[in-house]
Amino acid sequence: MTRHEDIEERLLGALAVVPSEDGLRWLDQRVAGLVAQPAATRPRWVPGRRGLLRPLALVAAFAVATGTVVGAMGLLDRTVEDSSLPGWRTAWDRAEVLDLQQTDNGLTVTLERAYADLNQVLVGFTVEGLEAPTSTVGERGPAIDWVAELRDPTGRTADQWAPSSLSMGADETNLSAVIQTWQGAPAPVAGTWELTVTSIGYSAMTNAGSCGAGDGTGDACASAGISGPIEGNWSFEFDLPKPSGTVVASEATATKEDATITLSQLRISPTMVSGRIGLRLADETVAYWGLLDAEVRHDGATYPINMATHIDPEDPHDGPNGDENEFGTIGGSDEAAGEWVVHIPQLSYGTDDPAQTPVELSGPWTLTVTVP
Amino acid sequence: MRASLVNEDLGLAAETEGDRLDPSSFAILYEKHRLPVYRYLRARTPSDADALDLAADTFERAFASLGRFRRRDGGVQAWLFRIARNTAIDAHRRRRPTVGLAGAHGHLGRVAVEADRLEHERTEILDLVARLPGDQQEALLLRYAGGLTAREIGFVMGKREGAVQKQIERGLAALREAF
Repeated sequence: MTRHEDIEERLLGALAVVPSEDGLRWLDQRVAGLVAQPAATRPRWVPGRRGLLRPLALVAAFAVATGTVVGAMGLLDRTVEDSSLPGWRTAWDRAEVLDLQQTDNGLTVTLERAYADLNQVLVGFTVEGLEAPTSTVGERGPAIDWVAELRDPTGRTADQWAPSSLSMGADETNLSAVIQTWQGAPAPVAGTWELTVTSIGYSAMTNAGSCGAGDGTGDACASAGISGPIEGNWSFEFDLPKPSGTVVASEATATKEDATITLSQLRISPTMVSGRIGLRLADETVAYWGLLDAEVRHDGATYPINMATHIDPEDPHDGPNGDENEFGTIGGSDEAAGEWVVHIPQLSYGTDDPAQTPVELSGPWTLTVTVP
Repeated sequence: MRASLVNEDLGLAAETEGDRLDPSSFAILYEKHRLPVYRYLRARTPSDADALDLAADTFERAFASLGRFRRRDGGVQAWLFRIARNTAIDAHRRRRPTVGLAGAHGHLGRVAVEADRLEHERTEILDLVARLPGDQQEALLLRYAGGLTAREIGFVMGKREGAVQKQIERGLAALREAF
């Protein structure tokens, strides 16, 4: 047997699992119930077995319950404003206007604008033809859900360069709007991007809290007309200029209370300031950590840090700079030259010991980088 | 003996008759694909219960979408696995921590919880797969857990068949090198 076949055999063997007998029986019964029900009462969507209150970690959805029809661009503008993120406003104002349309499975998706700089990519698209829920369920109303993949001019997918993403959806009568962003280091080249949306709709799982379907029947969702996502293929190709911004290597460090923070990279773009930052403790190995009330200061302006993404959680946490995060701010700057100060008043950290709760340390730690 | 990558043919030509699917063929579709769908989702989730949940959701979505299937969607298997993949992505996205402490996307790392040698070998190779770039990982799982051809994987991932084949070869090469 060749090594190639050996690897394939091992992979096949590792993946050839079977569910427990009870589990398989449950699955069979669940699916049999779908087929057995008369069409008139067959629910179009039934929540999963294990409970429905999964946190909406990254999607903040606002139902625009004005009762009036807002134009597509107006709804997207409103969504950007509702985010309260200056960086999104800048990206939206500077985005390439595309107005590309695709129709599949009765839904028309229009990619209105797209923007890329060295810290993030933003796209805004609308959806027409989605059957709106027949009633308002819960406080905010149902949230639109979607699956979209992005490919940069070098062919990389977003999950290869974007450790985090943030998105927001809004709904009006017969119209839904989505602002989707990816944060990280996109390829610094001009060229053709590809956006593919493969699923759009109202997921009962996303809206479970609103539907009140904790008993798993989904009747509240079905009666509200939440039909579940629609699968399809809405693909777009578009050209963007070379992403703007400045990347600076740094060796800035600050030590307090046996905690040393190292800033190894700063990326400054019109929509965000981001950086790679590590924490090392004198006598403990940090497994994860977070910045508290941190901000970046430059030329009289302050940029609050509102996100931090853990880098390579699977790798050992004992690199030269300790355990590393990438942070990002709510807005950015066109001017990179000058002094940039990362100010961290407090931090919290955890170790691999599951019994230990996160520890808070008081600083401040101040790291300064000068960009020529 | 060369590993078999294709599911047994259960004589289910009727499920792809014409360009569309109808509810009467759903039971056959489920019977044929339930294990591959489960295996694919099990490789993407941390537990048996999660995989079963997602498998149920996948078939429910598929049932709701029967009227929208078209042969041009790459065949029944590709269509179904695209639904499964989207279901898994949806669930993974909801499971991610808040923006303030967001973790890296796409890591499917698993921990060996038993000292048993076979279990250790199984989790060892799956851990290596979890460390591959997203496209290679996805292509390998669709191929070896789902039993899809490169062409079908192309329909699921939105890529050309040749590109999928490359991802599979690169993924296998990376695994060979690790061993």
